[in-house]
Amino acid sequence: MGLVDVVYRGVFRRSSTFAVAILGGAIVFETYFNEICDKWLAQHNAGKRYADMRKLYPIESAEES
Amino acid sequence: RKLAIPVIRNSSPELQSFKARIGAVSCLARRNYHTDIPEPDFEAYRSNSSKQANVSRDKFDAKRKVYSYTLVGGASAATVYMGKEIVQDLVGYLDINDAARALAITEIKLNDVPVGKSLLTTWKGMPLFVRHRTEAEIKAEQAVDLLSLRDPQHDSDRSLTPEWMILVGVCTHLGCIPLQDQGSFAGGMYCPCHGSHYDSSGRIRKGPAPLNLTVAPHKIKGEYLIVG
Repeated sequence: MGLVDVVYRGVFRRSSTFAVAILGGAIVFETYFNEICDKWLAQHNAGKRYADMRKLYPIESAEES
Repeated sequence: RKLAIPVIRNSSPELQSFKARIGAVSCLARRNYHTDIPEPDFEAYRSNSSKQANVSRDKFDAKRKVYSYTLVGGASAATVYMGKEIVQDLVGYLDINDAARALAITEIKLNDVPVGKSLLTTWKGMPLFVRHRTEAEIKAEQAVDLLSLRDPQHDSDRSLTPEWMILVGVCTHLGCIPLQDQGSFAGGMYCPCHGSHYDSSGRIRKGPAPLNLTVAPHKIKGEYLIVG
């Protein structure tokens, strides 16, 4: 298959390109992993977080704005 | 259809003639157990891409190896992420914690201070002067010749916006607290201890103080002023 050949020869064969691909993959992985974990935790703890309850307790403060 | 794979065994004619030629000693002629076992046939395990006899196997590396390399790469990326998080957290312990940072911050609602008025509050235990300057004061301060100042600083270097002057209210002479809206300069401060006059930008003009009043680090977020 063309794509497999291109990916293997272009990226996986040399350690230098493989390392760059891993670092790039880690950056992308971090973004999506953090997002997915935050969403899951919010859904698992729905109604218990401050973000869900702040409307009930209005406070005049710089952080609120 | 089986391929004819030549298998060299201890009892083969080729090996025996070779041994005869090199004058092998009799121990090599001893029959070993492993010659009774036929070499297994691994044909079923060979991948399709490597069965072409006349083509170098390097041409078909990709299809066989890309699966393993993808798994290794994915696991490595996850490991790099874990290592980065650990190092980041450990280094982050050197930073001040959120409770201490909250104590070092003062918030002021900007609408509480009308134009031309000053506010006295505290920041980190020190008196804080917040002045909402008028247009006349701003123009006067920006036009001051720096060479005539004891501690030359331009007015625009002392605040984010010209209207808001945020100063630490401690006289740079011997540490008294000056009085706001007093002294010879419009909108300025006057220290009653030894008679230091500051202008509305907090710069020393007359009197014994050597330096200008310290500008407190601040930023404006919406309608709030956050000092510190």
